[in-house]
Amino acid sequence: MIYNHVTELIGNTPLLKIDPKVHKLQNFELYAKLEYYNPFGSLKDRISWEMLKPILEESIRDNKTILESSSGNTAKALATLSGVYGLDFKTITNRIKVPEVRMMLQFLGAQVEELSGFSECPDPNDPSDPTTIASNLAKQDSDSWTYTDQYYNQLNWQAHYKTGNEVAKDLAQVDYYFGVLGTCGSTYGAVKALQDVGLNTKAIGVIAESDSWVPGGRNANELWETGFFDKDFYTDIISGGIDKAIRGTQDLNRKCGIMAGLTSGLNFSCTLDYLRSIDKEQTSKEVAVFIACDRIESYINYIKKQSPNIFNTQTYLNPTVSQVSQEEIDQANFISPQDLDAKIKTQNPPIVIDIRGNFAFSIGHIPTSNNILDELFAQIIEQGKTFSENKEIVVVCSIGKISPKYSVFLNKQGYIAYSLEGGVNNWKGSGFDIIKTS
Amino acid sequence: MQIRPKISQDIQNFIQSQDMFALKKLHEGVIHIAFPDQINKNINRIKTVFDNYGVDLKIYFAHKSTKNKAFVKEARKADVCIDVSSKNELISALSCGFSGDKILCNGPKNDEFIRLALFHSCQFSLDSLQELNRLIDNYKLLNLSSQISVLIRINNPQISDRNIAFKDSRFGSVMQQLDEFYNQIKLNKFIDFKGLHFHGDGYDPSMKASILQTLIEALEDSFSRGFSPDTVNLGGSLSEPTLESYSDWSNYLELLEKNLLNNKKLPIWGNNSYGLFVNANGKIGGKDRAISRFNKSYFDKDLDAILATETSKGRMLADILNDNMFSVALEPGYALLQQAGITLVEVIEIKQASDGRNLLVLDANLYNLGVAKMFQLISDPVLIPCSNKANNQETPYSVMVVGNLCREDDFLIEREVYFDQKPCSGDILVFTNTAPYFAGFEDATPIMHPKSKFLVAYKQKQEWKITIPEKYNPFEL
Repeated sequence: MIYNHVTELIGNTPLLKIDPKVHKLQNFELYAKLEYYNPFGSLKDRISWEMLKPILEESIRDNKTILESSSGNTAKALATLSGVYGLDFKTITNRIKVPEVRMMLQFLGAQVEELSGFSECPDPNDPSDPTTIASNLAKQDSDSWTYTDQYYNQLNWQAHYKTGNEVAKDLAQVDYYFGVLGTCGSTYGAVKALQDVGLNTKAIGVIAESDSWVPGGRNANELWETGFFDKDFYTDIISGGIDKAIRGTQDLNRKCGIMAGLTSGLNFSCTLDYLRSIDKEQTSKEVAVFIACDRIESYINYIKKQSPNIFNTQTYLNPTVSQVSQEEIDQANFISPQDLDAKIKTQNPPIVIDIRGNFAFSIGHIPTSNNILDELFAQIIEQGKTFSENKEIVVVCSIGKISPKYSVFLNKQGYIAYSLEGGVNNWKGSGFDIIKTS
Repeated sequence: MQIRPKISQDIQNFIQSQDMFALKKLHEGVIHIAFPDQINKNINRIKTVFDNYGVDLKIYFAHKSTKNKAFVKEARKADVCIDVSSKNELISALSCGFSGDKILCNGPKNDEFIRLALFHSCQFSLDSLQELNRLIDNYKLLNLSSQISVLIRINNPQISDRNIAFKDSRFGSVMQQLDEFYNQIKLNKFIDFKGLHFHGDGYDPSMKASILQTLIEALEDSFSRGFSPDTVNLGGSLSEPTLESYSDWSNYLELLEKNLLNNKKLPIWGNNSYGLFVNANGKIGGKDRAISRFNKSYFDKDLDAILATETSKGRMLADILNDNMFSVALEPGYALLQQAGITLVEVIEIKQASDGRNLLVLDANLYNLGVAKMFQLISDPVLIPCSNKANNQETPYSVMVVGNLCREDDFLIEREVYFDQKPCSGDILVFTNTAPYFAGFEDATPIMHPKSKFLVAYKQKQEWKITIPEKYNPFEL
């Protein structure tokens, strides 16, 4: 199928039926609206394009920079669209907690301005929230900026009205619609559309628990920062924490083949819990839809930080330095600065490897030592025997805390290897020569 | 509708087992009780993180967070360093046994403060070039011969790979001035440039990590100028949750929001709605100014996240610090005094305000708890009734808590606080977690009300002992 412009790819996303074997609900059909099929990877492509369209001509003519307060998908979509139209884009935010998201925006050419949080010390001059700053900036210098204002721009929810219409075209009955509340535009717009075509759809808002943080979602106390939040619109507002989000994301990716991110996982988990709690009392078959809003890739590192156990595998082919145990490290062979100095002066001096960073090496190192950064050194020695077997090896770090792991590893390979006791610090402190590289 | 504070086992045990009324009789005004042993627990939490990475750490207890010498003595026993911000704090640190090499002088400094610090060879964090020049003048005036270590306080680290909007700051100097500092220091051989200082207040761990990396790189650069600094000082502002459950605060805000939208009376005095308002669209607008005051993050977790951060060059910050043999200096006050103090206040009476709501009048005022600006941080106090007669009428009983001053703004707690029973004259309110900055920080004696009194509680052979800070000696425990 041929498309003439990338914006033609926005919308008309697939609706995927979830296998009953996965959701195990007796009286519900469950569908996922796969919004990550949008060209820039999320449901925000819709609002970004709708918000940009009416101001495009003027922005190009007057060379204005597009301005938004977004920490993620809206910024990503606006940055891409701005690029397509030769415009600059800037986002002002205090919510980026995933470095990959920031780097992605930088890669796309966006200007990313990050605001600090509140001071611990009371300071009435503290800068206020990013949306206020962005809107003030746009007001003060309207010649340079066009502010898309996703939190208050009516085009936000209107863009999602189309999402609702798409769902209505596919399903004659939608009883529940589950959306994660961010700007609150997507759930409001879609459910309004479903209700306007005469369906009796209940909106269920999903949020992060108040002491939890899930990228893309808000918690209860943050909802009123958005222009589209109307509590009465929702039949229920349900919440979950980061653990629940990660479990849901795993299930979506592993069991459903839905490569969606953390907000979608939170939505899926909360949706299932909610529907399971009312499954038994249903008298007839009901239909529920939830939104899979964006893709998984950028969240992997964040997930790893929250649940490192998911990533622990023991499938190394070769033994690695990191496998050296604490018991083995406790038995490491140390050499004193005096003994090392004596050995260096013999006919057959040891190989001295300094595993510190290059700067540290340059400002002071042991004569005859060679600088190989620890992680590189690990890669080298993990390949197998690297050094001549009749050579002794002395591994040196700053204070003798990191080197034992390496000398023990070398011992296990059959070398006579030592760690310098107390590292370069102790060498220097014992009065031995230190060399600087210019 | 409660905002329940987190209360440590020790303090719960103290409140339940000791006679608060007998204690209250020791002083006519407010009594702040310190639990200095708690400092050791908080210090250990920080140390554990740095030990895990093998990174050298210097803790400077921020004296400014308390006037209670028991804490200063305990910090001396714990063998940490101390950060002082006035001549009298310096005298206090010296009097508690700190030697000059363990004292860091911070903040704006007058000449008297500078001279006393020079006499004791204390370390300085330089707030400005002008201060450096005054330090040099005073040093020459005193005809000293010792070496003086200095840090330079920076207020706008230039981060290369991200754009953080730094808050303007009245403290420290801009990084562009470093050259001028270096030139001046080079001309005065008695000054040792030890490192850079940035107070990371309000920046999240990821930002603090970027700041730390920037400071490390600046220190590395300074080696080419012939310096060999070894310290990166990240200041204080280490956060810790103070509530039993954060959802208490969520629930309160939800009520506030509902009442705002429905144009009903707010559960708070006056028009204060923590920065929230109903906007032109009939929605809640603004920003909850108090929300971030009730911290969610734990300082040891945050510090761990900073050290574990991989830099843009692919190396963990902890490794770079170790490579370079750089130490991290921290100036915790709030963090070290977490759960380390309570405040006893007597109830004068309950009365009605002009709007019909209940006011609980305390024999204390906003200066005693340093609440003039920080009232948002106050969670529910614990009520100790003076008689056992059950009062089941009107429960839960809601009040706003006011003080004994002649000022309309003398509120200790502006929001409605709910008690299980109606308080009455002679009851005692125990404010918890008041050690950092609350207890006596702004102590004054308006309309000749007494100053507050400091006491110390400690355990000896499983039994609680009470003394005054002047008589407290942690070394004999």
